[in-house]
Amino acid sequence: MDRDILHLHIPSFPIALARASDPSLRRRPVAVAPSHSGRAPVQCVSREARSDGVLEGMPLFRARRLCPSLYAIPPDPALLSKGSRLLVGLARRYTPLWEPSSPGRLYLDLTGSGRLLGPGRDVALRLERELEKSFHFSGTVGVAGNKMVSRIASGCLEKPGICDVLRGSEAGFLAPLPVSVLPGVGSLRERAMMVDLNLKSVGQVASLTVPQLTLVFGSFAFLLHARAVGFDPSPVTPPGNSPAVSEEIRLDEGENDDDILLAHLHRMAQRCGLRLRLMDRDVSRLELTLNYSDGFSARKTARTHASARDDRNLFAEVFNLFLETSTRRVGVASMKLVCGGLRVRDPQLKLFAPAAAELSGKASLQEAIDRVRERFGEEAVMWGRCISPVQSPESRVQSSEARGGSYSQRPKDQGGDSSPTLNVDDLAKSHQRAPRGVPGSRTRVVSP
Amino acid sequence: MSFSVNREDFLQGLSRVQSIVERKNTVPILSNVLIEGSGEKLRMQATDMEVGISGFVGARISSEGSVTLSARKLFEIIKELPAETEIDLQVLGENVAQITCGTSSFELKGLPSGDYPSLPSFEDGDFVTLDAENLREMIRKTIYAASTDETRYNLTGILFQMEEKNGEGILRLVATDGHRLALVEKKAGNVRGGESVVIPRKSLNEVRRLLEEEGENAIIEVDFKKQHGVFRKDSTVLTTRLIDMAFPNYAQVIPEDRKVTAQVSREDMIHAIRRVQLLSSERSRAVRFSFGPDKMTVHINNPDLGMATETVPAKFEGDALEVTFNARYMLDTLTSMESDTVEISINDELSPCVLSQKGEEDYLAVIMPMRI
Repeated sequence: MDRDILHLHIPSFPIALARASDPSLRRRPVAVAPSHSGRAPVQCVSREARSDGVLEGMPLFRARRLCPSLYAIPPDPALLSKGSRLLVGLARRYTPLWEPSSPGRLYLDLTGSGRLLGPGRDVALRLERELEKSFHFSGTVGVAGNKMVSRIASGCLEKPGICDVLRGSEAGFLAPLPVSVLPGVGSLRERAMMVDLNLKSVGQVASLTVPQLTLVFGSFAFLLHARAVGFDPSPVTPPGNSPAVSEEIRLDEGENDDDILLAHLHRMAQRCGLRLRLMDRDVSRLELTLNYSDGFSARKTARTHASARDDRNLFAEVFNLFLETSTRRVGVASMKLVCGGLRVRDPQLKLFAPAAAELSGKASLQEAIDRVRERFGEEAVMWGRCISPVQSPESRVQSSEARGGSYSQRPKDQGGDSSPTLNVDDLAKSHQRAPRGVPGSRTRVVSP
Repeated sequence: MSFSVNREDFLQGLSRVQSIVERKNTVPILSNVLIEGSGEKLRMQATDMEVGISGFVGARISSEGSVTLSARKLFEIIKELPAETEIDLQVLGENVAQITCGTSSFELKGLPSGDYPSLPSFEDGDFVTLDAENLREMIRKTIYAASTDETRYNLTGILFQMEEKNGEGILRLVATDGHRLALVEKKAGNVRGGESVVIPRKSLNEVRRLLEEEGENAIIEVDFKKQHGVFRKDSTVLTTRLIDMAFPNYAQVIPEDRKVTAQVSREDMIHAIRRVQLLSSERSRAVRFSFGPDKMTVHINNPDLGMATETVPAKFEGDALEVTFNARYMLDTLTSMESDTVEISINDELSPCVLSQKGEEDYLAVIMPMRI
């Protein structure tokens, strides 16, 4: 059966959202950039500003020099999140198979629903009209037999509209396009193609055989050739199929004290750990994203060892991940920790794992702590390393137990209100800062 | 080369090499058996580069020489020929062998014998003599616990340890797959103390098969050199590559203190587990054991299928305890034992459980519980 994949793309999505809430921004050159410094990089540019030469990544002061009428707006993650939810809500009306790829981009799989909804291009037209009518968004829609071609098709249009690539003509559609449209072809590979092989278009790449491409691109050759002829078997995967537990924190003022950031991070790990234990799942992948106050963000992923769902194991993993991710002195505006690759714990105990008695003791301690937290709140029992040396105000904590990236929000856990005696100050005094490079030197457990 | 050989002798020689020849056909010549005729004997050799075997078969050699032929095809041909007949084999040239028997005639293509890999030489070996029956039993009692997971290569072999204890030679075999462990030790005459090697599971399976064959002697000679080991029984020599990786410290996982001890009839326990596990899930095979005064209860509750309970009388010492085990691990261990009564010792529901034969200290098995 031919697949019907739609790729919906709303160019400059943060600006489109800002214009939807503030009509005065329409038809003006707008850029999204942190406003605290003229050196802050521009994150998103409207079509009007782009025509004046403003590009993403450019320092704000240079952008203003190129376009004196440029209107700079600060990033608004809350608005972005809300806008993404609106898009997902719209997509859900047509198909349960949708996949967000980045803000303002969404794949929809309409395979098999032709008799119900009509051809893919008709659905694309309805979607476009609905976006315009309800949210004043104008976007481009690519319709094709796979994700890659539909994405490229939506990017081919300079103005809002629909690009429908007929099934079977993918190779012909891609042939005249530059090689840089293919996923996996970055600046290095593009240079290798253009300078060394004089391959400028996708069609030229497709005309070569896999063994010929292997000489230059090694193991990537097979994938490159498949993409060049328009083959992409990857399915549209709803986020619900990749369960994850995540925690996010925003800091009002950029924070660059490692001890404070680590304390926040350990708290996030502690909350994730609790949810993982409640779900009886092990985590196999951790992802930490640091968003700096100047707009840059850093993201690192690490594989975890088998039993990283207990607090202390998670702390050790996130500590190492933090050291790898945090490489700048700029203040951190927000952090997000995602525990992915969840899997059912192997019930069979291992002979050569840590001594069973030790395991048993650790498990009992963790269970006891969880029981206390369940009854008296999260802050009834705290690990010493979760306490900031200087308590920094948390503006807001978002917590999402994302079975498929649900965008649900939950207020900060206020379980501590009902807790019995809690002497955090004493703990904070006695907490010793761990030197950088060594995992928290001391762990304290306070029983209520 | 040409020779005449009795069909049964030839078939026995070929059947011995069948399980050793390479089946994946990555190196074509390893699918072949090397046949060399000299004097009054026919030498047959096969190897997959990890384990190799060579043996002799009596034959009337008309002209000496050698050839390699497909082990599987040759075996199938000889098996289909009439019993108690003489088979003539002649190499025609270009590595083609003509096999004739009565009115049947075959021409089988082979490969040059010069390309066949040679086996390591142990002519000047310092062999240790072991009782064949003892060694066969020891392999049987441990091999089930060796890992089949190639990613844990050091556990895919069996630790073959020789040591002197109070002036007596001791041979110890240990196997583990990371979840369970089997250990057996026996007195073994003139062993060399302090020798410890890890022998691949496949090689010991071949050794076991060799030991099961009837022979003139009830002994087997063993020697180890650098990365190879050799087992020699009568005129058959089996060589194996050793696993050049450290075996885990097995002694540390055998608990010394045992708080709960139960003595149960081995047969009763096997039947109880077999019946109850019919309702276990295919994936985990988890079965719950409850130890209490005078009885052991085997229980399973599978939400998809139902529940089953079986009670077995037991002599019990200690506090009541409930613990979950993989039924397959329990059955493997119990069926490898011989005694009427088995002793089960455990400290708590997360600690290793020791199973031993009552009154016999030379064999024990350790099984880790499941956390359900």
